[in-house]
Amino acid sequence: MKFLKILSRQREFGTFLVVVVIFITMSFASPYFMSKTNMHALLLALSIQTVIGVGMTILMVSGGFDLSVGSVVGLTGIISALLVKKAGLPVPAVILLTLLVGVGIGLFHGLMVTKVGLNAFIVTLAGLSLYRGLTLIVNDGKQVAQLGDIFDNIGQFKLLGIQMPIWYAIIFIIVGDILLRRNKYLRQNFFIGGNETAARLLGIQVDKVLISNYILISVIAAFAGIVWTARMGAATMYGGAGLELKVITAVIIGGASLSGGEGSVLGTFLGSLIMVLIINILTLIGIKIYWQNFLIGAILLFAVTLDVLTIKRRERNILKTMTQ
Amino acid sequence: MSNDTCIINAKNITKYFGSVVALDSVDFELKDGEVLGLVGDNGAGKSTLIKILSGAILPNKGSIEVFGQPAHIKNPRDAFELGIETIYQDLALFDNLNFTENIFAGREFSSRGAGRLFGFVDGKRMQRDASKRIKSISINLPLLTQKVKQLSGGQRQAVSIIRALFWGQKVIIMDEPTAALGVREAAKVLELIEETKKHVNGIIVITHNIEHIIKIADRVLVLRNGKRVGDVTFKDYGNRLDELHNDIVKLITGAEIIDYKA
Repeated sequence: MKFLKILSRQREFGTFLVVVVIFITMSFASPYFMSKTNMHALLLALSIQTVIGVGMTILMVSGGFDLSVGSVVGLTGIISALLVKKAGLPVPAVILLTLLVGVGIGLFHGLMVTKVGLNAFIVTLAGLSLYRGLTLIVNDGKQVAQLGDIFDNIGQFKLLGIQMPIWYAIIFIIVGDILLRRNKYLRQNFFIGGNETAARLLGIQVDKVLISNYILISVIAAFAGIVWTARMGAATMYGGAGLELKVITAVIIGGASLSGGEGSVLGTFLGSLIMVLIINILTLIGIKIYWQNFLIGAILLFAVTLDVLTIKRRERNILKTMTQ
Repeated sequence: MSNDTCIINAKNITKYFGSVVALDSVDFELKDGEVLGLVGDNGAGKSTLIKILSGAILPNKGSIEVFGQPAHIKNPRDAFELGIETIYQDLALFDNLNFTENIFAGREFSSRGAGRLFGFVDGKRMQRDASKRIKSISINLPLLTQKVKQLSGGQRQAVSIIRALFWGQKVIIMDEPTAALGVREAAKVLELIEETKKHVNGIIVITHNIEHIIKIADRVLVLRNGKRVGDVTFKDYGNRLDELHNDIVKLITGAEIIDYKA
């Protein structure tokens, strides 16, 4: 009983209830919903969003932002594919080099924001176009396929009947949630996001933490780029397109504030889950796939309005993040 | 009386901002056990002096001694290590977090058990220590798990003060603690300052509100146009509070004022 009490006080409980309700409704709405194939496909679709969501949650808690993740996934996808196919490098080397690209991109973002003083929204918005452009340039817009079994297994291998991306997502959620809640270094993000000036006054090394946040999310995006390419068996120039908006939406549905200081990995996962579930059920009952974007926007609006109306948190001016 | 120990002794403090003289050879001393008011009109130099003591600004000229030792306060960290804590008007609190988290901001305890391997913090120990501290200061604060943004102005001041006391600070500087507070809340803060006096060596309060400073301070230093123009010890006035009030205002404005009671 006491456990239930503690559980219900957690922020994520409300979101979790929504998920349960959706699940129950959906199992009545369509006989295919609960099938193993559907569940597996669902979780697979969820896996990349979830993994990046961990990095995005940490970044947004600190008050930061990264609009370029989708493009980084695309770029690192092509780079890893080219390293395997054209450069003929062994897979471990490919993984290392691709992750290093992620480090470089993240470092670039972090330095622009902390040392040059540019707004994160602007830097990563530029990045979104920059990296997508590079993705096209690097292989003339052509896709890269037939990457060999070893590479493909990163994304396609089935462990206990479940494909690897899902296992990666599970690990990321568990480790990410626990660390953000309990780890001293990562907890600093809550202070930085809540009151950056006060955080500095109290001795928190704000710049260092912010830069590490940007590096983390870009490395995770690079990892996602590798995994996604491996799963598809090919890298295309559209890899990751639209991903950033889905992930940011999930983080906000999950309870984070745009201005920082609040958020949880578990909440972000539940946010992703809700989006994917609703889209899944509507697909199953026959709604055209074109409705997806519309639905994502609608769900976001609904979730945020609900939140504001229940006065769970005070959303500070969005303009603040755009005009800093 | 003249044998009172000085815990802060600043001499000849001068600060220019370009061609503007913010402070002109100001001598400043804080005696052990006293609540010292620092008053003056806007632009008199109060904030500048306080920022020098808290390490936010460096003076152009002058020397400072803290607890009898020469001190070079180059940054907020130096001030912290000397035991000086400044509570600015915005309180440097984290609205999105609760009381315990605010107390331990930037200084969280590390877990002593298995969690240490993962860099975990020791939440239980922090909560225990924080609530012990409140009890020892006899302040009434609502649920410790509430977010600080839900607390009243007076309660928020309390959190800032308790944070300073928790980390063993010996001198607390408060910048306009009662500004923007209603009558009841301001009264609570003044009580809080009285209580805090028992736990520290000295308190400096900057304020525009002469009524308030007369209530809680032992002495007042008056600045005008960057110069020290007055040092008023309240004891000398006994019960003549109106006269005390008038004299302070005279020093602040530099003008003779009409006695409105005549």
